[in-house]
Amino acid sequence: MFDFVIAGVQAPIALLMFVGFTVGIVGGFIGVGGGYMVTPALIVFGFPGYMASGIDMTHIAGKGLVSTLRHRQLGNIDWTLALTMVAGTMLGVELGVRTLVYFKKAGTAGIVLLVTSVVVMFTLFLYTQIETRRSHRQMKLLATQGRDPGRELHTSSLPKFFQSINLLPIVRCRTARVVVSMWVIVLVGAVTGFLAGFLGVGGGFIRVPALVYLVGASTHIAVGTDLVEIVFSGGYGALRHSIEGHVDMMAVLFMISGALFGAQLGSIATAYVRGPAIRYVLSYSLILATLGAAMRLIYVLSGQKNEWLSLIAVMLTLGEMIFLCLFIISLLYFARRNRRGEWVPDWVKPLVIT
Amino acid sequence: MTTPTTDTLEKAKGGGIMKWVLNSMWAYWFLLLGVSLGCAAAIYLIWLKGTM
Repeated sequence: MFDFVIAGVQAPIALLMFVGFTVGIVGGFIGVGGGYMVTPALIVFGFPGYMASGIDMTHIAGKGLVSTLRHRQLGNIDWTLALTMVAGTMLGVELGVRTLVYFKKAGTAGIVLLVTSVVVMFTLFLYTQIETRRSHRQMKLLATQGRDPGRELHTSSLPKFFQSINLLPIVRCRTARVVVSMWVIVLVGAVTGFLAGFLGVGGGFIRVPALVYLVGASTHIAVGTDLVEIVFSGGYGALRHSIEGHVDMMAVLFMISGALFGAQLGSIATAYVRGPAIRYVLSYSLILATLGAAMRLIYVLSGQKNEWLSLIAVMLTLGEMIFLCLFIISLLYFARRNRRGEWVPDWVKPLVIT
Repeated sequence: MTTPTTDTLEKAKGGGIMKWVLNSMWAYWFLLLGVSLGCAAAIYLIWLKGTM
């Protein structure tokens, strides 16, 4: 146990490093900050809510930078897309925060936040899961015909619609190989920013599917590009929380020491898999986070009487981090076996790059 | 000398329940989820039970 003087709590160092490591892998692989996993975990460890947000945000900024640098080396960042989207994101976050203040004044913020989280995450899970399974089947079919499915395949028809909007100026995103109206990117940034600002999260789990299914970027590019946004938003959030005195730097230090390794491993793992593998992990992350939020919602609605509901929510939060981490590491392991020509399960073959 | 994991995979090629678990995405998913929730329960019992 380490005595965190600023936060005024005692927590095990190994656990903080472990959380940093697991969320680092997940963040580097699916391009999210992981605030929806880390903040509840830190609260469970005994940190006050405001301190948990501050520590989380500061660690996300550091970890996001490491992942971004690694994804830059892998050629997964489209700077035009990232910087155009920042404008819309800022506007959306501001609107989201104002809406949240409105519900706070009405005294319904807690329940509205939980209900919105459950609805948004479950909808994203359903769409991502159904589409990814369709892509997976198509990749299997291509593989049986002896054709190389390439690094990316998605079956959504939404990008074609959004790319057909001819509203000037038209932006050419060279790395993402997307030609689309600037207003579409700004609108996507604004909508995802609104949800992020309203829900009080970084919004990576909303932006990555939006970049893939609305803008038409490949999953790898969506992950790398979203991490750029996370560095901006995390850096600003870290600064604001530090000024308010919401950051215990020792806790951040322990978490980042784990996250540095995790973020690199997660980012490198993307080079071994095809787009649908990343989207599968993203959808699993969404459904487990949905279940955790649903448990908390039922706990709140039942007048906070059933303690076992709160306990299940804790188990799901911790279990989710471990599950996603194990899934990514096993995919990496299978991908390496596949490259060596060794046996791997049939469902893995279309998901990994040979 | 092979590692235990490699050994398990080698056996899975032959058949049996391990092959079924590894070859079915959902079965593998539930196996990992079970292991993860078990680890989460262990973390709770070792570190968090008294603090919550």
